[in-house]
Amino acid sequence: MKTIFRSVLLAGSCLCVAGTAYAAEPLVKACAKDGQFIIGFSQANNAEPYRQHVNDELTAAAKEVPGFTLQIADGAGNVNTQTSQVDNFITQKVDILLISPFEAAPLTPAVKRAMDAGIPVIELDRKTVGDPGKDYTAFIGGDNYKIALEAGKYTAKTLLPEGGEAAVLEGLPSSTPAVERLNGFKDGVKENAKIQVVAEQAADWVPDKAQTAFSAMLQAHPDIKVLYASNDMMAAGALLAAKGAGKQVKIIGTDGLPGPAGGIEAVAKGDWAATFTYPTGAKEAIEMSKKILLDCASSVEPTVTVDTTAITPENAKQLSGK
Amino acid sequence: MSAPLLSVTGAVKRFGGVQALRGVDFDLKAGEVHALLGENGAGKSTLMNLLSGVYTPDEGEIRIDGKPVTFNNPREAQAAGIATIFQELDLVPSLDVAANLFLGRELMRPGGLLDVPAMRREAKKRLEAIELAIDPARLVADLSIGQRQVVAIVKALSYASRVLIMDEPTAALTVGEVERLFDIMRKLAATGVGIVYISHRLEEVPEIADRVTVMRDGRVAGVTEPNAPQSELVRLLVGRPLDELYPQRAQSAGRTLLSLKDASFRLARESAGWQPPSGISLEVRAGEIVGLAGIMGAGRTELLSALYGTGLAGRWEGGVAVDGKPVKLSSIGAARDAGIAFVTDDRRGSGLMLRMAVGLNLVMSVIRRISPAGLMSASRQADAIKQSFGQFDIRPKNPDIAVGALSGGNQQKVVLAKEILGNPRLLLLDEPTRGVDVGAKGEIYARLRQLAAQGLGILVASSEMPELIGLCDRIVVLRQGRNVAEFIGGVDEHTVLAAANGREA
Amino acid sequence: MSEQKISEASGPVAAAPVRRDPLALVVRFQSLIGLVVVAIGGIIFSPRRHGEILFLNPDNIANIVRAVSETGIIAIGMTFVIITAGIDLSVGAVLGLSSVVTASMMISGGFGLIPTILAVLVMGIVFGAIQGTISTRFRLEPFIVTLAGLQAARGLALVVSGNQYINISYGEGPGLAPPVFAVLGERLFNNTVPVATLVFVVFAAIATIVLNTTRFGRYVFAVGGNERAARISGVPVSMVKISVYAITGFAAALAGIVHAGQFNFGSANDGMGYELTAIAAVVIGGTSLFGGAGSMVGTVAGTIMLGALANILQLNNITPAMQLLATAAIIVLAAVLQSLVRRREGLGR
Repeated sequence: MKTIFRSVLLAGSCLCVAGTAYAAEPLVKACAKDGQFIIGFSQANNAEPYRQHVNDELTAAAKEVPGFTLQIADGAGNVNTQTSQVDNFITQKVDILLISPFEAAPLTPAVKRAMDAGIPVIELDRKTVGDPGKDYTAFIGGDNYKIALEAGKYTAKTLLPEGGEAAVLEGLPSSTPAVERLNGFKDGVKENAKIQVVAEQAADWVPDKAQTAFSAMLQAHPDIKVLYASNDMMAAGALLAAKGAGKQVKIIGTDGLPGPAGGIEAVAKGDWAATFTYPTGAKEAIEMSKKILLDCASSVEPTVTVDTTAITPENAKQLSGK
Repeated sequence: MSAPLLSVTGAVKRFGGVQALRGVDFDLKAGEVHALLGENGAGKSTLMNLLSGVYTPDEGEIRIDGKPVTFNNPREAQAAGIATIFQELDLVPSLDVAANLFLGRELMRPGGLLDVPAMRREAKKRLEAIELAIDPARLVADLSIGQRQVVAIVKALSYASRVLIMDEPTAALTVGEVERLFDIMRKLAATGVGIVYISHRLEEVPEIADRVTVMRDGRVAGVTEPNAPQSELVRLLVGRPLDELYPQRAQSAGRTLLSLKDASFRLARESAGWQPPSGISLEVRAGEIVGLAGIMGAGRTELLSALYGTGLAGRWEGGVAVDGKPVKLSSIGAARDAGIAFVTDDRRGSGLMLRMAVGLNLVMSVIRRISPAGLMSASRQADAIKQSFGQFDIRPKNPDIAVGALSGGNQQKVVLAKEILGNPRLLLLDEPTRGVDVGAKGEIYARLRQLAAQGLGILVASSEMPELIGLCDRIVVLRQGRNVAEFIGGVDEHTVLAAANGREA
Repeated sequence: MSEQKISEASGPVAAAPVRRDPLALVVRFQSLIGLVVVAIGGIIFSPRRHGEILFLNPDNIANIVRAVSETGIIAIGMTFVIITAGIDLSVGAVLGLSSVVTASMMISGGFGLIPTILAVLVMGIVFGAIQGTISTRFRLEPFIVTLAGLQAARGLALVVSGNQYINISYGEGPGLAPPVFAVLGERLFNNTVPVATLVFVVFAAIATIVLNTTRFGRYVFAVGGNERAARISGVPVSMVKISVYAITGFAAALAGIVHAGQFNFGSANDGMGYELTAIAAVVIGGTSLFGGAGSMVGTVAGTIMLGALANILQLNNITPAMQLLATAAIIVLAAVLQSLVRRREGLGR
């Protein structure tokens, strides 16, 4: 009975927040300059290097803030697991929920439950269904479609102005970012009618499948001039395939991860033609959390799009030194 | 006189509350073949395990050349010169003969590579030493059972050369192979090796043994000359005259339950070593126990499994009738519909669900009957189990313990009781008392006779001649899948053996 | 010789039949005991807020039992297969296939709720029965047949979905699913009992009755106890084997429907690795991979135990790596206990 009573109260208080937003009520009532706060981060899948990169940046940014404790839960690429972890964060009553949903629609109800429980939800990199500022507090991230569109345009204008054959390595078929990046690139290269996308294959984000798939593509289409890989790892696999076939192919990666094995270094060394960073938004997310929890903000920017940077031979050396 | 090569005095060995050996004296002279006989449970395996270092005795001592020794493990026994060849030969079928002979003590070239040619040369030399021409490069899997037996002997002698213990070496051999093995054993004995020969085939004893020790109930029942009369050996083995073990024969037989007239089983695909019934004629009548005799490979087991549909795929030709009606016996379902039940010779492999409770095993063949409308009826199940426990003295009297924990004899009673519950008209039994102690044997024989008296027809295949002679009303001798002779029960063993081997008596 | 050894070794057991091995009792109820241990541990180590034990918070309990409902449904089907000494690796993929077919039938096919659910369940049964038939007809290891089935189901799911994920939106009219389907993601009875959990519990209850009180259930045990002996005793072995794979197919399809309803979504990638979680739950529940022995209640307890363990570890912010290690330790412990009991009963292995 107690629970029911409380959930009625909670529902009531939520209505209050919504109804009195204009009265500059803070998003989190318990906000305080020197309070102790727990930030729960529901990660989609720790096993991907990009996601590990996000975790590292978030951990580093959260450490800068004295009152913040960051808890990371690994959804392990499973919407059921991630849903249950979000529910656990709600049980724990974390002060802010950060989430990179593995898939949009499946995690939408869990995000709604968090909002209903009075926990602000900042979505990182991937969105759930609905509108930021209403169904969840804010979205911070890049735009998969736009980044791939940029890569397509770069191909059309800079890499293949004279036209020719291009190919695409897709991520895990039917996953949201895989579909968005595929469509973005294909729309981008449409700017140049002389470019044909002759092959597209799924390589599930991993380098070994990318190597196998691209080798086969080169057998079937020996004239491929440009390969767009939907992430850096697949670009690395494709490079091995191109070397094995003795072909000069201009390879474009996505994510632009730092470090010796990352995409920035590969462009700096001249192995790839370019890679397009997919920004983590980690700093921005912690900044926004500070605004809500420490500064008692009553509203925040609902959508923060962190722009991609094109890593090209011109800027790669300088960036890789950083 | 010098001390014997190997001697055991006052050996006692207990397992929990069970006393397996109750003070056993045994000795072996150099150059002697000493037969060790005993029913299952008599203690001969335990004695063998003491000699080969698997167990250590609780009391008593073992001497070699008169000096006391203790073996803490088989390796110490081997170091003292004692080699044991178990029934399950410890050979790796997928390796060749040479590799098996040198398993674990391979000859190496410098650099850690196997010296295969040297091993093959040495293997050939050792095989030829006992005049056996086997190519050392052949896979053991391709050898006959008899050849494997010899390879195992050569292997054993390569690391222990004074005493050879052989556990039922002839159990799976053909007549010709047995004779070859005996030749080799005689040669080895002539070089001074002492051989302990464990067997339950009484007829082999006079042919090979120099001395016979008979064990019963963990004691030595007697030591005799090998040419002692068989009835004397049986009396020592069983502890009572043979005729007490077997029940009275039937007075009369009823209508014909199974009739085979020039019947053959055509295999869908020929299979080496599987002798299908070919041109067989026999009858089993209600109230009658009919025995199937024959040497290994004569087609006894094959006849039973072809009748029950558990053998290789194929179909019957010729006259096959059950209870007067011609039937097509091609599947288990058809056999069961005809009222036939079958008890395999391999109760652990295909007779019982060892880890399941006794009660659940008992009702296995009547599940349909005790589950009206598809739902298991607890009361019907309990009734069925009670009925079985009433028919057979299964010990312990607890249907809830796993059947695998029962003794061999009690397991066999469970298998029999299970099939009897199904109310068959005709019961096919393959080696019904294999691995069963004497007490349980007597009970099983009595029960079978009782069931026959109630109108059941029973067809028994057995390799134990005394069992067929003592139990059966008639004995049909098979050779190459065909009936070659028929005797009435109580016939002289040699007569049956001669017919089985295709010789005149 | 081996015969004699066994009768000697088992002498003491046979002599004292009434005394039950306490270790055997532990194994019989190991998953229930494990569940109690995890629950007590959860209560002790649970974070508290205003004195309230978070682990026992009704929302938290509901979360635990909801999170395990899909793998639980699959584990129930898997219990049948494992009791026959088989294995089914295709279940996770069949879940993915079923979620895709459910979503696309309702969204692009315009089918109603009942026809969709019936069609998906029949599809699961047929898929499983085909695997069982191939395995029995050609005498192939179920491991290899269902490994192929896993690949086939994922491939079919990609074909059906056209390499896309399918969102389920609700409403009336074309391209929308009947709103009542969304109930699978909700809770009933004053927002306490997740509907997905109800499906799990009802399925578990039916499965328990089938396994323990029907002729078919007895056949399942018989086939796993000793296939050859079962055949000789007149048990229709092939029919039983085909049926248990049809049951796992049905269970995976049911889980796929629950998945689609909970997450408003169909994706060919969903359910990856569920087969291994389900096998773990079954083994922890005391069912032997050698076949012939097993318990449905044990499977349910094992499933919930794994969920409760993950929950308490996350509530205490313990890393995912530790969760995997803890699960590994529990699986090994369960298997070792079973093996010890087998050896004590003189049954070897």
